[in-house]
Amino acid sequence: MTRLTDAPVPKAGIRASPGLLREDSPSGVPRVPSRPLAELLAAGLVAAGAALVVLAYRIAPTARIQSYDPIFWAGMLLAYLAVAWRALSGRYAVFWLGLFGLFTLLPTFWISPDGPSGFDEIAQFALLRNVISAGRLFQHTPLLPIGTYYPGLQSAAATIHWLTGLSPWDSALTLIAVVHCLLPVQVYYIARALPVPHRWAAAAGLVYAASPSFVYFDAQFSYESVAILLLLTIIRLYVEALAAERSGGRTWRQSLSAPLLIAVICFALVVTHHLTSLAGIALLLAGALFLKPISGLADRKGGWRRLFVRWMPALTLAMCLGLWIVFVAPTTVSYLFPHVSGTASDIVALVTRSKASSGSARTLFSGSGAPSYERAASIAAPVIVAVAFLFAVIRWLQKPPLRSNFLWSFVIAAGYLVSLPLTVTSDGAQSAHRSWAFTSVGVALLPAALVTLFALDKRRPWLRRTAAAVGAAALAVVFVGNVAVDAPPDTRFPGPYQFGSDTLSITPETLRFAHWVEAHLGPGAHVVTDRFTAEALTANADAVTPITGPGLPISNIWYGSRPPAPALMSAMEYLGDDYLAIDVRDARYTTTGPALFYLGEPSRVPLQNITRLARWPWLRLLYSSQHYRLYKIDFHLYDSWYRSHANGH
Amino acid sequence: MCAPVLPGLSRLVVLPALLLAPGYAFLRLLGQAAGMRSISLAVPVSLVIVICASLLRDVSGIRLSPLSLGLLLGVVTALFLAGSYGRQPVADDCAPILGYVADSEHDEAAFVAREVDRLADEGEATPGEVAVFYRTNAQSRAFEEVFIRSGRPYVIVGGVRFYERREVRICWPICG
Repeated sequence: MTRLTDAPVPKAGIRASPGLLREDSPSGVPRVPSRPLAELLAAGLVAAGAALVVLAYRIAPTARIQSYDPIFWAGMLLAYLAVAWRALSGRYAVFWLGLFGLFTLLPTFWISPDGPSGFDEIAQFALLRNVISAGRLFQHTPLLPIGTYYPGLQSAAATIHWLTGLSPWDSALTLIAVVHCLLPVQVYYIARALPVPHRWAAAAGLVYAASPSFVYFDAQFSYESVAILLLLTIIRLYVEALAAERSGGRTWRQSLSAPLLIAVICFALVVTHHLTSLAGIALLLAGALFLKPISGLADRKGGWRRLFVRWMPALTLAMCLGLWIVFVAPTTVSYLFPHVSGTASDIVALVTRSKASSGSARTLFSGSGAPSYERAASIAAPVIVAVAFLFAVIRWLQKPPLRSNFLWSFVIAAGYLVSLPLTVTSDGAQSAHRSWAFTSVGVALLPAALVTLFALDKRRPWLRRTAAAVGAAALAVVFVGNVAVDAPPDTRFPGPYQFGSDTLSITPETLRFAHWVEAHLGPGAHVVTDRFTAEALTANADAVTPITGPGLPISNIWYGSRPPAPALMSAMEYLGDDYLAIDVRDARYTTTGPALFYLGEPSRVPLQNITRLARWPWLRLLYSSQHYRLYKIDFHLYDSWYRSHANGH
Repeated sequence: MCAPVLPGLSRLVVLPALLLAPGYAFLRLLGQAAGMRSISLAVPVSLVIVICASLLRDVSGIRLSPLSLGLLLGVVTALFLAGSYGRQPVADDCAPILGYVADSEHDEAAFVAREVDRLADEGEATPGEVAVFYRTNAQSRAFEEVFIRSGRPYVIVGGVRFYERREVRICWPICG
């Protein structure tokens, strides 16, 4: 650390370098000159970017992808680079990061401005409507049974609805808008607390905004979206508390406020989302282990207090989650276990190169229709991150005392890199996708680590300019690649009907069917159907659509060679599942994305299993259109029919 | 379905207040508001308060109308604000004043130089943000020597650098 060497005596009269004046104090306003014209120009560029994105969405339903996809990317990149310019060069980084968070809501909003779209959003919105209509939390939707026990999202959106009179969907949008714009801002403050200078903390926020799940997945009305903000807030408070401890001289009273606030937020996080809580425990444990220990001139007293501040948040979060699972949501274990075990077996198969799991392998971009530049960027993005990671880690190993807080970010970023091979597996891909919102916190700090460890901001001007140009190009490629990975074009834009798509499977015929169901059966009708018809009926007819499971194997109606068993029918009768809705296209096409009923199901429904329904007397046809059939189930008739016909099958 | 409680434009006032005020009040209560950029913490804390209040309301079975809930939140917020009004923020992040006993003036200057280095390395301050106070001009010499030897930029405020003083500039070639 010390530079007290026999260095040559510099010329007298040396003055502070002008470059130093651009630095800032972690506790103060950045000492960057204010340039109102530049800010206005950037605002204009962001507005132009927004106009281009909206234009792309307006022409997408009728145009070819070659015409609207470049417009979309032009708008996104224009806004992203304009925000990057002002966030890195100007004084108002927090404002620009928040504005970009709002900007990135545009695509999700324009997919479906009037209501939810996609499985998660439809399920969560169904829960919200149930909460609002019942006036109580812990409501149920068969689309997402586990959501019953994690009502944080619904309670916040319902409160906005109750207090303001906004419609449920407007309340949901308001909540997500506020939450989403704060995500990169919190990453900025996490970086500032590490500590990282102003402009590189802004770079961290920008890189986080380019993370794979930020633009689409985390912008949905879903419990992750709110939970991630709570988690980032916890991490921010934690890092700030550790920094305050490092400065020394604190008392127990001063040190208690941060853990107390963190504990309250931990509780809210736990009641909002299970997976984010688990990820939070991992991040806080990593922080307790790898964030910089007390050093320098800090006082040597108060060891117990520092231990408390360091470990208490992780323990509090773990305790809250454990108690919640034990006493309120025990089904969380059975809900998460298949995903965890599937991911674990995928990892084992990858490591051992086993062919046994070849059935669960997937091909990247299969059937997505992504243009070549998106595919190239999708491959280049993790490569850029990996190269940056390697450079930073190697340099850090050469200079471990310098900025040792970066070790924490390296550990988290390593989690992102480790998850990448899982994208070629079935279960693992979903787990990897879910983890990116958390591991991207580590990735976001890589630019700051590179700049600090290589002292790039103290190099010659031409080298700084070259590094800035390379950095901007890399940032743009990472942004395009990550967004393309998160949402391929067929899920990113409205367009012609596509079987097996959460966002493109709703047609005017589907909406007519849903409105008929709502008008004739009323809200809350129990309809047994496949995933995509269930989404449409739940979102547009307020229907209750059970999902298949061991206790209710409704998929046997579609896939079983024999008629449904009496046990299944008894369960359906007990639950009040009186109606059966069929999409005849289930037997014509195969899904390339989400499953009709469950992962690993047969590739296609046998056609005779659809046509046989018309011959069963216990099904009474209520509605018929080109592709949809709706039957009323007569359970008494089924009993007598099954007794007399079972042997014949 | 509940009927709209607040008509028209008043929503524009109530909604931000709903999202900001409880969190800000809670943070003020904890004495944290001064040290943070308030909005970015007040929003998540407001969410937390709303979630916890909803859960409490649900578990306790207290049936509140939307208007009552809004009024209750407003009263709690007002109480918090009233309770914390006038309180000066605690300078939590300040390090204590440190005493260092040096063997010599050069040892003292070397300690100061190391401290400047440490602050710069940890990102807590740049060299331009560090000030060294001394009582008489003669005491600047030790600091200047250490700073020059270690290549550390410095500016003498309200005086002349030791090596730029007239008598030193005259004597320096003779001594050199």
